[in-house]
Amino acid sequence: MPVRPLALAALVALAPAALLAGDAHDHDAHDDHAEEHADHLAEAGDLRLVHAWTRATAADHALVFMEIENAGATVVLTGAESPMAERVTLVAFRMTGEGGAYEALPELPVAQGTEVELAPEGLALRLDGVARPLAEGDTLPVEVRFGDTHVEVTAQVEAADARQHSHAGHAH
Amino acid sequence: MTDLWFALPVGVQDAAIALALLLPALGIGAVALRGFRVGPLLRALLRRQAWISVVFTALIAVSVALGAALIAQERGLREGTARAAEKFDLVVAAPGSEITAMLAAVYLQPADVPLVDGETYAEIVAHPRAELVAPIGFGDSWQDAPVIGTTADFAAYLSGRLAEGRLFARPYEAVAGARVDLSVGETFQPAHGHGDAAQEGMHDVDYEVVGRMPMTGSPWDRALLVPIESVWEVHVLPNGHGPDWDRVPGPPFDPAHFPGTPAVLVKADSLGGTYVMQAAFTDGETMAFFPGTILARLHALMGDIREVMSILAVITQVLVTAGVLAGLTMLTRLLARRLALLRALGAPRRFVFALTWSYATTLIVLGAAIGLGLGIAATGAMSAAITARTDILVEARLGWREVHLVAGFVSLTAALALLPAWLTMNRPVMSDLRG
Repeated sequence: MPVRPLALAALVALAPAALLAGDAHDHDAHDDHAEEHADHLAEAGDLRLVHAWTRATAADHALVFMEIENAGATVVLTGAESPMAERVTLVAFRMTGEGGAYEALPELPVAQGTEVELAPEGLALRLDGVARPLAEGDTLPVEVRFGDTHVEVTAQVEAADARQHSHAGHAH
Repeated sequence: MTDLWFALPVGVQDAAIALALLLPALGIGAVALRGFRVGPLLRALLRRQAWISVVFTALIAVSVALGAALIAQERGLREGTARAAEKFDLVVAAPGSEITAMLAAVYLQPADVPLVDGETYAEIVAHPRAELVAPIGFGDSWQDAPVIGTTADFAAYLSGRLAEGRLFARPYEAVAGARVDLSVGETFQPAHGHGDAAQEGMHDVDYEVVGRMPMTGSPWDRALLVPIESVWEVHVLPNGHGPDWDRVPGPPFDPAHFPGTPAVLVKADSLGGTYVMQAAFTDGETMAFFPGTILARLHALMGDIREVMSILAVITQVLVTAGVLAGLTMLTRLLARRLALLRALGAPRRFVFALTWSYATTLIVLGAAIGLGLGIAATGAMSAAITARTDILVEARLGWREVHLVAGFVSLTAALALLPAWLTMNRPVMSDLRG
């Protein structure tokens, strides 16, 4: 039977790759937990940006979501930028008889002592002209502007059909 | 190349996809029929086997029609529910289930929900981004029509322009939805509750219909809008105003005399304002939600179901066609003697193949075409039934998606039809001639 040697050969050829993949996985698991948390949280004064995330995509645009907590005086989200995208726009979802769509918003005030959630079918930062495809597990740096205050966040790339950050619900 | 594709008008893209899906069938046809004129014999075969052809075609047509109509319906329902929610930018209610509150406030499905109090209501009204704030008080009904307590401003906002009459200007006046069986000038007595649980005669008051809204395609077409003050008074509650009220319904309400409302509709000055107000009124005391967002999430779920339905529809159609092709194989056995005679007369083997394949494919193509036609009729009937049951205007139409599905089905089954054709071609001529 000619099939069996072929299957054996394939096994032999694939084995090192499988071992390598196992190694990589182990390495991830040993990652310092504290370091991981630092990625999920960005602070500037009384502002906290938590759980920034986006979805894996091959398209040149992506939506970034996060939670914004403001313990201080009212701030106004005026925009954002990312070294990975040509343009970042604040957008808001609107449902009409023809279906739902995201529309650009010029700014968004975040009142004192409130939390604003950027989430699917709600508010988001839309990245246009994304330089390369985003794969699950990647990270995406975004600088969010509140007037003169700029907050750097690292968005976690989740699965293409994700509905929330994989650590959503964790307290930071 | 990708850019070129996206630059094409959507209609052209859809037509191109349909054509691409049909290409395999056309390709098979071109190869199978090359060099032969099967037309005259095919017509004779169809005539001779008229009844069987009609039954087989009908089977394929019905399965195609049901599949297409179901998928079109899902799209129609999605558009209908979105249209019905279009005017409801933001709803504020007491904390609880958003879906229950949405079904009650937007689609008027009766529900017991906690109330928003007068102080919170006053805060919403006072918000700098608020443009229109109105209570939506449900709970009473007249026959099957929900009686909703609200303000004249909300009635005007919902209807745009009244079809007839005027807005309510005094307590115990009402504006009727387009499909309510009451004319301007008629009176009605509300019952407490809805449907079978409604208690007639609990409220000893008469409302007079003074205006009628145009069709909105939403459950509000079945509703009676009345001043919220009347609803409160009917339930022996404070009427929302102080003792020296001039009995002209509407804002401003006095928080001290405000008995509460199950839901508050909010229209903000802009889309951004709507989100600002949502953040402002999402706390321990109230929840503020976008019916559009909840709907979009439900639609995403429906989209997943649609994918499954599309696959099921194709599987059903293919199964029906497989049955038909099995029937055809048996039919060709019955015709074996004639086909063998053809061969004996000098027809090449491939001619028999081409004839059998084109017979099967004719039934498939005819069935698919008639199925699309039947699908249009079935879609209309199903939409009317859903609209009658839910009052959500569902206008489902067959679209490109269904055409693509049917085109894919034709190609797949035209390929399947090669099998009976091949079996027929390889029958032994001599024994068939003797048999």
